[in-house]
Amino acid sequence: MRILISILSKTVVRSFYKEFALFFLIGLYICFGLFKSSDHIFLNTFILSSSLLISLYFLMWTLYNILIISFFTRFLRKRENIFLYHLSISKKASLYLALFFIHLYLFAPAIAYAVFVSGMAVNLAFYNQLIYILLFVIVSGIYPVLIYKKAISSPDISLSNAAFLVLNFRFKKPYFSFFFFHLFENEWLKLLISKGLSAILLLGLVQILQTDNDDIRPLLVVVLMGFLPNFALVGSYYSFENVNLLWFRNLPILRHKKWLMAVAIFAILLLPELFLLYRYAWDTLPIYVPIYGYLFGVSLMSLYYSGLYLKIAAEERFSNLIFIIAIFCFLAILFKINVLAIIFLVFFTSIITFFTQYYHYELVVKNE
Amino acid sequence: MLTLTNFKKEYAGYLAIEISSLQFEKGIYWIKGANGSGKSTLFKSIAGLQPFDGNIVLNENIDQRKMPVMYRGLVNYAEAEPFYPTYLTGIDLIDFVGKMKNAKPEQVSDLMQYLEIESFTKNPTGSYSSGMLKKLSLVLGFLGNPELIILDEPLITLDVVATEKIASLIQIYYNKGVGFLISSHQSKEMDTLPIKAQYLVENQTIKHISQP
Repeated sequence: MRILISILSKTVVRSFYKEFALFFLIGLYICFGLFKSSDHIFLNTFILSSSLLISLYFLMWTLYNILIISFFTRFLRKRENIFLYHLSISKKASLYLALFFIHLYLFAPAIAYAVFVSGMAVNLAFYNQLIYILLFVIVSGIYPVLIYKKAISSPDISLSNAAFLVLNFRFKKPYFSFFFFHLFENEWLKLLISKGLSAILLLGLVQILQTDNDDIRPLLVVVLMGFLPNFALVGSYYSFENVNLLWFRNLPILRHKKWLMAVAIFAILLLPELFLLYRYAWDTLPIYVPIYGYLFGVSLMSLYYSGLYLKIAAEERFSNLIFIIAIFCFLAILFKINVLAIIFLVFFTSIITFFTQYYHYELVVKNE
Repeated sequence: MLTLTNFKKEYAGYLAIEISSLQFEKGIYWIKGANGSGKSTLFKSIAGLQPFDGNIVLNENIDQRKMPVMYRGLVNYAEAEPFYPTYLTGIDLIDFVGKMKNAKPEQVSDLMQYLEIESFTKNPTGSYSSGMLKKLSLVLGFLGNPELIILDEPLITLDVVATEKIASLIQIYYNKGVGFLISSHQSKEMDTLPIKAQYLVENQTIKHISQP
């Protein structure tokens, strides 16, 4: 059985968490960024107070189960995974048990939340709700195993997939989305680390630099330092287009569109930080200040991206480039230059650099 | 059609290829050379994939440096060993490149039908065989309204039927006025094409070797 669990976790579980890295990332940001622990307690107390409202949990966990089952059956149909059908000749008991453990791995986030909610139900003495939740979690842990077993036993699984046709529908991907797919497919660990580090830095710096006046400069310093880990994602975007998609350079791309697309991608990548700034920046600041901080962060990323097309970047002195940008911005903040002027100046420098450098690729083509 | 002047490409100080002056009139050119001789380097430079010293001008006035967007709209390229992100489908790539190259929907569907790639283009490229990838890259290489198509080893990994179809497709596009630079080691199939001249890339330069 150990070998069955090993092979299934190396294939199914790993691929599942890779494919849904963004889903979990957003979930983590909402659960631990947007909501404070007191919010969770308030929300769950409210839901647990009614037997009807706890059906919200059941709905959420059922949807998550459908997502897992859909993924599993789709995964089996892929040509490279056909070998998994060999599992059907293993002993039934071992297979059921292995599939049960695999489902526990996949269902773990829901189980973790169920444990938290159950703990609250015990504390609040909502024993009926506790029983419903435990029963539901047990059932949710068992019935998918039967579906997996059926899918593995019959290579023609078109019927069992029919129920999940909507979830399996493949949308056409616009170019705008290519990089995000690349991130989730190939660089999900870098994404998680850079976002995690950025969140820690932001929250830590907000605590350290908190002031009781409306001076915006400490927040800009928070952004300048807290957003730095995201520069790794800018480097990924650059490499994605200039190394992974070398043929992209043969396409007649209008530079202003290309630059705007890059800025839009960076703006999306920095949305979690915007949520964090809104949630945790000190109260004495006007409400629009986190927006300024966010725009400042996007402008920094766009400037770094344009800078990567310079010869200095080709010589792999990326750190010099980051250092120069950081020092320049720090001085601008220190000497109280208007924040909108700084943002404008950074964007302006970025666009000029990009327009003059984009069609003069300096990066040595590594695969030659 | 295409003029190269004082063209030079170096990799970290190592000279890959140098051409003082070369002109291709409209036609089909067969570029020969041993492995590693610099054919792909030359093709990539002409396609605008990598920096170089010198000038490359299309139709006497479209300089690759000065009019990069227009130039790339008229010069297409299909690489020898195509590689695409495994999570993208063939349709994703065809839609994107077709849009960039201003390809009409009829052209897209005609090419897909002609090379028989419709059955698998909805699948991610990670599941393609080398022949399927090659067909996809060739469809991408013909999209739009190019004046010059660069085909780097277009016949490798293809089956006999597909090879014949590619030869016919080159002939059809040539009749429409499109020029070709082709590198290939498959003499038999290349001999069926109306080759204007053959060139050999060796000793870090290119030389004319025959003219039918």
